[in-house]
Amino acid sequence: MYGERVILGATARPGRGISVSERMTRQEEQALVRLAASGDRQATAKLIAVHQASLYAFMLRMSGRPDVAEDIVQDAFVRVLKNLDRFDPRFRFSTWLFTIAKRLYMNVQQKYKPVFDTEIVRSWQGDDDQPAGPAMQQETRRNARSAIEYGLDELNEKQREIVLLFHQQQWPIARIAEHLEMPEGTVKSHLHRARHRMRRAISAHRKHGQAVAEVWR
Amino acid sequence: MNRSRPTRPSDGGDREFEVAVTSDADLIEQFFDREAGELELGELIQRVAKSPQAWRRIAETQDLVDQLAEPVSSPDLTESILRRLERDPESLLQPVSEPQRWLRFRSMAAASILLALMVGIWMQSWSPQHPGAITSTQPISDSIDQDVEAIRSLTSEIPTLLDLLPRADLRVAPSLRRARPIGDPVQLYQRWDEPRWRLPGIQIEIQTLPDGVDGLQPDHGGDQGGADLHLT
Repeated sequence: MYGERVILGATARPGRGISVSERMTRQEEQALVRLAASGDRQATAKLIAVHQASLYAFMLRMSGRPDVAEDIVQDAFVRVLKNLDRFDPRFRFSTWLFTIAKRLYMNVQQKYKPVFDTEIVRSWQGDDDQPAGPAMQQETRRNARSAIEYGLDELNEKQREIVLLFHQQQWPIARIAEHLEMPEGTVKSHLHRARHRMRRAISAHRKHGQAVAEVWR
Repeated sequence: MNRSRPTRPSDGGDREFEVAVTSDADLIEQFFDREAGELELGELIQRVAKSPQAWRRIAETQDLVDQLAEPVSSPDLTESILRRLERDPESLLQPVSEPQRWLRFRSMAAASILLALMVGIWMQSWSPQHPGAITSTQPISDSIDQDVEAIRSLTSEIPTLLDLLPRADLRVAPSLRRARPIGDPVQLYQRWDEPRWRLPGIQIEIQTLPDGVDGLQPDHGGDQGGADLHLT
């Protein structure tokens, strides 16, 4: 379907963020799926390792909560790996995984409304792992990150999903359109509106931040 | 935003190509959709140079896009997922428990015994045509009898075999030395996966001992070498 080599995900290193990108062709992916479907533990572990970081990042940005993201990632993998014999090789494994994860997220969505709390944002963005730099620099980085979360929070579910699939997961528009079962033009419209809303929200957030800083100065 | 009607730069001649009406904003969005071609990029750069507002929009969007693509710390959930899968009775990935391991071992043992029995029965049914181990052989030159004459007359029609036979130290299994009428199938075996000869009306296979790989070797009275001639 998509012949090019694509980045499927990254190997997760606890507390270190995405550090090793893993590239895999469709043939390699299908061979791995076949092995995992036959009960091969090593192949199953590799499938998880290749896709978990990207799915976690996506679910974290979607839900705004690390605990929810972690639960959904685990549930999605368990569900998908239990049913590997039903995998349709015409599609990418990640597309299937993200579809299942999204359904699971929709089930818990009512329970956990996305909350982009600054303290939570700090805790899951690995600030503690960053090399110690000037306090000003760290503060700037934190502000930029919280602005992004603020911007994402301004979007509706569909816009947030499209923005993340396109800019975070680097999926092409055609693949997003297929995944969401909507025309490419509609995907683009959502994407443009989402970027526009995010820009506006971030700009407002920065102005607010500057105003607060002025007060405290 | 500028909504002027842009034209393509002249194509080395007088002609000018018109492109669709595109605003700065559209061009910028096209760029961030990763769909801007060389032409659109050139157009965008030209416009941005004249419009600080467009420049600002690009910078803000680029910042946004960079932030979205920034990696997120992720816990390693591999082991916990694998453990959950192994606990799940419906999972394809299940650890082999002790009782299951015994059951598998017993099934495999039973299958092996059954297979061995079947092979034994098959070998037995096949043995009249293919004699098994020859425990005692005697050089044919020492026991010229009717069987050998029968063989020589049969093989005399086959030049290849004739070439081989004089060089071979033929032996006849004692159990097979019964007189055979001319025309009965004769088998000469060549051991160790060497080719077999099968000719119409007569079955001939050459069998040599381990050091006689290249055709038949004369026997010098030792335990090895030479050829065995089996009659069926």
